[in-house]
Amino acid sequence: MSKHPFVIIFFIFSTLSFSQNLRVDYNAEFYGLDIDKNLKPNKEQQAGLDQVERMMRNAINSQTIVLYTKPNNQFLLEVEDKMTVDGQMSSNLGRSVLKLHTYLYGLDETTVLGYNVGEDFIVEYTNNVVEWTITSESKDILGFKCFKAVPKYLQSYKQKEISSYPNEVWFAPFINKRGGPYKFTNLPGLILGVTSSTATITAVKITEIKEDKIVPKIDKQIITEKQAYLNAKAVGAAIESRMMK
Amino acid sequence: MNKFFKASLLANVFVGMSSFSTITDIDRSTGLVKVEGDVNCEDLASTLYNLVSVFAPHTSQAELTGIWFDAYWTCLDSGLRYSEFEANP
Repeated sequence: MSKHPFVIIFFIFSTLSFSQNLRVDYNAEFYGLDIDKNLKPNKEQQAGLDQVERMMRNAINSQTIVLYTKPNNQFLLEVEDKMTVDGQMSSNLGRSVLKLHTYLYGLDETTVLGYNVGEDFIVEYTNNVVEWTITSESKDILGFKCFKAVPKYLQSYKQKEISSYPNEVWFAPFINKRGGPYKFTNLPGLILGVTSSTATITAVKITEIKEDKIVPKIDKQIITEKQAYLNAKAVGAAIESRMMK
Repeated sequence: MNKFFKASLLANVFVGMSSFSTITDIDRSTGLVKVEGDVNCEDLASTLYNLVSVFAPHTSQAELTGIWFDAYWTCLDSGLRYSEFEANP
């Protein structure tokens, strides 16, 4: 990890220390599909793409994203669909676009577990697949100075997968907690902003809480990120094979 | 088949797929669209999936799959409960 010197200084001498757990509420905003500018859809195709953008925007706007910090540098992120009605299937489109799960549980310094309601497995994300460049670029989020960190993904996936991943993360070294709306959280401070080519997630409220949020049971098979990627590919292949018929 | 569904949801796409469905009336006061003909929700979802994979090639597989299922379930929930998935599971 490369660090700009004064980021380290800020981190070491940070005076704001939260002894209690925190609740952080985030808002997500959808920019639009990342359309290839060399391709010109006709009127009907454009109507379809517009429809997909509306679906994606609705899916993202309906998500509530809340982070709870926990003792021992753990955290739990909950992503819920405000529109979900009991007994009805909830769409996972919003979470897919935001690269999140229903729950992200920061287990320790190196591992985050991702759960989705209705799935029979839990995905394990390990920090060693991301290399960070911490820049001197900064901005304030909720009054906290945040620095931009740029991730480099080391997974051997197709480039289109990597291109859809978040390309910048804003973390607050002054908040001595770990976590954020992101699967890789080995940064020296709480993540208050995440940006990808299609969406951005930004903290809108931070409150101190006394409770220690209970983590859902880890009672399912734990699979690697690579296996989860292969599963998603298999579902895509099944859809595409039905189209060919 | 003669069904109503909310215009804001899928009207544009159905117009583009008029070979098996036709929008015959739009009630602007209620936002409801009248459709005649069978609408295959699987075909609708696949059309959107294909469009995005061609015109937005950086869209991830998980997003494409999410788009397919969202379109499929939205289509079914719109009251156009016709689908090959249901007929031939």
